[in-house]
Amino acid sequence: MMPNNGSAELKPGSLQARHDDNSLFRQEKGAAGANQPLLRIVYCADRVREPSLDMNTASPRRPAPDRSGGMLDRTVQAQIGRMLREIFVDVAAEPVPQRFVELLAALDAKENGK
Amino acid sequence: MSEASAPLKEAMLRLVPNLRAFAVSLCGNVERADDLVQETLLKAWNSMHGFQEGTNLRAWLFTILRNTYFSECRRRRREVEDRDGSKAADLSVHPEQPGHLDMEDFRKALDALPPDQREALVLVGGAGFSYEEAAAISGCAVGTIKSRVNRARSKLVELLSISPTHEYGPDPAIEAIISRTARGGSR
Repeated sequence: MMPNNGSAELKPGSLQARHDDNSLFRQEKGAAGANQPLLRIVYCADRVREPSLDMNTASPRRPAPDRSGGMLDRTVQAQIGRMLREIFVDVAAEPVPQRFVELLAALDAKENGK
Repeated sequence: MSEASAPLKEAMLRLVPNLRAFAVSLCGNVERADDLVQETLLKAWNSMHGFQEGTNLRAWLFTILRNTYFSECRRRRREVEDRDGSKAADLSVHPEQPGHLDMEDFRKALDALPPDQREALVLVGGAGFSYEEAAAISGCAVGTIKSRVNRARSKLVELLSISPTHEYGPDPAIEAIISRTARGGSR
């Protein structure tokens, strides 16, 4: 309904949620460190601190305003765009498989033999 | 058309990497993608007299490939009725790290999209065609492409649970593990 309000609201909310995230993980990490290492949690905590992920880490935690039909998070869109591009570019960078070289050569030879 | 086929052959060969990229993006399977490319090259070759010099060879080949793909999809759907439904039900991709998009999760979500939405997204977001070019390739209106791209994006966000409208996801589970282990650990 009100995309501007929605996104303006989100900022302080996400920041707060992010702090919660970090303090939660840090605290649990400290508590756990005393007795036994919790690899999984340490890993999560590390990921959470990656700056490029900051915008999104908070998102699922927040019972957020209804933004369906509104503008989607630009960072999420950027990630989707990057992955789409990555799939395409990675395959496009592969050398042409021999079967296609041979196929086209055979078609061309047949055409010229006519 | 004797020596005249040589330049076309070269041009098609140069476009094979692009065609493969499009095919893999569409169907998510390299073997099937290469079969699609092969069929596309054969069809294109056999109808090359219909190809007009000066028009976009890349777009023309993409059109043939997507038509081949979609008629194959229709055939498969007849063979395996509930495939799409069961696939969609199976799919709830919750990334290991909230907000972190893993390529494998992304691929799963992309494959779960309706084929027409995936196509629009791949043409515009992957292959870098304009909305107008994508519409010409898909044989539909520009507005249709735009709405497919938008629906595809929203659906991806939803499937990957990175939408703030979702309260479920990995977090409660992780929290549960954290509190459980922390309690156990402090004893």
